[in-house]
Amino acid sequence: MVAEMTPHQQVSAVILAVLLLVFVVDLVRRRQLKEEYSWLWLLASVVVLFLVAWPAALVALSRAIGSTTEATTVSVLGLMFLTAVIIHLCTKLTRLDQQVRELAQELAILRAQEPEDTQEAGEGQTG
Amino acid sequence: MENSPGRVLILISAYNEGPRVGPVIAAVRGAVPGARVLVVNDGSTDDTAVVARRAGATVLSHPFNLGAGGARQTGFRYAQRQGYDCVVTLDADGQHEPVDVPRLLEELSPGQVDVALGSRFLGGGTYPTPRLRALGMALIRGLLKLTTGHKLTDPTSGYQALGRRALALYAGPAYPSDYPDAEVLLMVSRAGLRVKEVPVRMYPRSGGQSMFNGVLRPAWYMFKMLLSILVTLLLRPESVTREVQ
Repeated sequence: MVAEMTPHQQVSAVILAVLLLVFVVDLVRRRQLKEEYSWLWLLASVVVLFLVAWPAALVALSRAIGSTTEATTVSVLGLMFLTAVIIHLCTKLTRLDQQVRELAQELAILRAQEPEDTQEAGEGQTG
Repeated sequence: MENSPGRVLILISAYNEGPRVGPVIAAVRGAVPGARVLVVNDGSTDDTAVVARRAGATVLSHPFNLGAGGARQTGFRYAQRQGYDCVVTLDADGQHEPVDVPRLLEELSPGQVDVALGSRFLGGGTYPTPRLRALGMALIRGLLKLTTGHKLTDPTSGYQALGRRALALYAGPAYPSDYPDAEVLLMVSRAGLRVKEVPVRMYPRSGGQSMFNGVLRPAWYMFKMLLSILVTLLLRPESVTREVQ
């Protein structure tokens, strides 16, 4: 039993997808988001637009994964997408953490080679 | 010195230990006159660095706090670059008796042992241990026995003497940045390095905050320890042994 998407729903989906698209493109344009991260979000809005334009694809997908309503399919897709993005960010964070640690260690070792009187400027009783 | 273990670096990592680190450095210099003392100041907000330098230590200061493992590792990397043969790690709060340093170093000098682990429990040593903590340690001990086949009495001891091969492993990327305890010993064993326990004296902290107060923190510690032992077991062998070859 498959319900058609109402025009109301289609308009809402298109507005949300276009807003996301414009927002992400603007962030990239103002250099607040690296292209590296933007493509995922652009892909998300394109997928929403695609499903509005071609609801049969959503119906077919629902059948394929065995979900009884399209709403479930959309929710599952959304959750999977967010999970993937967050795991990706966590791996980035792990690498950044490692890099920050090595930088701090390197800085400490290099700073010890400076004359002693300049060393104390950067340490102790700063908190 | 007979059987000299080579150039020795005494490594003390310190976070806000200003009131305690001075006497520790003095005691170490008294106990091991030939050794250099390095203090890694892990982003302290007190006068740890100044006190340590006045006490005659070389001081490396992190721009911010990295955690106990990260701080020790800075010392290992420094020691490796400066070509030291042995490093002895010691706590900054006076828990470890510096008089025992030469006994740890003695184990390294014949080249039979890569890590001499100071144990507060070996050889009839007594140390006041709360029941919950004793339980946790028994668990860690059992897990290490299971995974390495070695029976270690004090697997969370931070009082260690390291030879060159162990130093290379500890300076590498697999060394943890938070609590470098049992999983490091597991790493040591998987890398084919040899550990020997040596009885040492340890004292309860002379003041300040131990990280083992309350119930939640030890529980969290145990959880992380179990997780990191598991992760260390899953590490690909070459990622552990690469550093020591």
